[in-house]
Amino acid sequence: MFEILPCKGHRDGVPEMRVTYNQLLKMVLEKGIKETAKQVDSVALGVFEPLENVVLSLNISGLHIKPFSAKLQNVPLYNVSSDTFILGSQTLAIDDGMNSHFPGEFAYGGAFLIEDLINRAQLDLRINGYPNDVHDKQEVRKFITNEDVDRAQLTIDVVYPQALNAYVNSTENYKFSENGVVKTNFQTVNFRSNGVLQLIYEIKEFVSEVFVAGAKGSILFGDNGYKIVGDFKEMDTLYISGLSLKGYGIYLAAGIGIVVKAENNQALIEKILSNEARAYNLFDIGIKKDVGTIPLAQLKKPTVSVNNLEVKTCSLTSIYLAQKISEKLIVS
Amino acid sequence: MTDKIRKKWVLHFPATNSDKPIAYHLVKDFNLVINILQATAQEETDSFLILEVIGRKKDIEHSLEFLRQQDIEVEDMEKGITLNFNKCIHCGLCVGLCPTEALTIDHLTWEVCFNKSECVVCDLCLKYCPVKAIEMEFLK
Ligand code: SF4
Ligand code: SF4
Repeated sequence: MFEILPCKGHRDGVPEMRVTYNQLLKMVLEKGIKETAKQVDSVALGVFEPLENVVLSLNISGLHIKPFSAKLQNVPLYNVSSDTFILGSQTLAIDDGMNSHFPGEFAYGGAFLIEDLINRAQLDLRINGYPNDVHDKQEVRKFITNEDVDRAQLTIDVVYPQALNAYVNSTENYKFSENGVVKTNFQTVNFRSNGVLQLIYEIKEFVSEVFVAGAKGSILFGDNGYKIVGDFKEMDTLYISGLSLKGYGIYLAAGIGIVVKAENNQALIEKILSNEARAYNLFDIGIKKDVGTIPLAQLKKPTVSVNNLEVKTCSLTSIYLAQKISEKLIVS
Repeated sequence: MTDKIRKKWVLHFPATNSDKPIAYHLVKDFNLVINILQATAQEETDSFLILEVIGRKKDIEHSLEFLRQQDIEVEDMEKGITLNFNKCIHCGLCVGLCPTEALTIDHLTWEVCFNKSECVVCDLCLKYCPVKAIEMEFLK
């Protein structure tokens, strides 16, 4: 049996009942959907997985230079003004060997730099600029830490709708992908998302709170996706991790939490539960061919059946940390 | 690529044998990849060589026979895998890669668990963990 943890907020003098995604699944099994919808006020959803389209903007004043190129710890930055730089989470350090010795290690780049910044590491900043009447320097080389950054914002851009892929590999060679290494002869099926980032868009009108990597975030919905923005200075490496995907590249995995208001809204609860049935494209990465679809609920099991073979599931989405984040949201 | 195993050996040479090109034979005759971790050749005492060898099981067995024929004593240093939970993000990639039940997910808490006694030290988790939470330890 699970316990509903106390949380802040009241409705008609009764403490708000906020549950996590996993608690909601269990509650519906025990009490049925009608009763659950009556009792639950809000649901906390969590994500911790490798993310696409993450940029960090860094504002560093007092550099006295008009930059044309910049790098931090050998990772290129884009200068968008004389004191603001953009770092891409998947940008590689300029001396990265990439896949020259296949499969490459992809040991350092934007995502790791983001982690190092939060950890207050000393980082090597090198800027080249051009002369003008305002800025006197043409070269800056100094060590900085997060303390030297005046303002920083992490932005995650989520595209909707986005096909979610699960890979199998029918060949005799390992395949290296954004879902991790896919073993040979249908030994593994690899996926990387718990579907919640797509779900958030589908229930966008009910989103009430956003948590991003330890900071309070804000969310902006558009016609084909949304952006989550958070104050980088408040972020915590507990919820952020650089990932090296061998033979493929670098990713930032970050924790995102969302609270949705669900008061007496059975349709919303049904929508949230339907995330378990979300269909992933099953794609044979060895021969680049679609082989069907598979629901998330199956991928969450230790093995699934593909072509009558028992195939082990390999995930890159941390359901454990997603759960921890949603637990944090029901008590904070 | 998957059926190769890795061993760490200490080779103790008899005084009379210390100038034979053993490493050369291991590479040339048995297709092993070797990595010399430490070498000594002290006069009048036993000399030894600490090697990491990687190769197919059969080749490793044959090379052991060869070494024994040369009167070289081979000491196997056991190695093991440890999971550093300070780094692990519990993604589950290693769980699917692991050929045994050494790495599993607790489906109640979704935590990744490591059971050393099931581990055959195939190195797959070590190679592919995206946050390098799997570490190798050599136990003498
Ligand atoms: S692959 Fe690495 S981070 Fe992922 S569960 Fe295994 S040890 Fe943890
Ligand atoms: S070394 Fe191989 S057997 Fe041992 S835990 Fe890692 S993947 Fe499993």
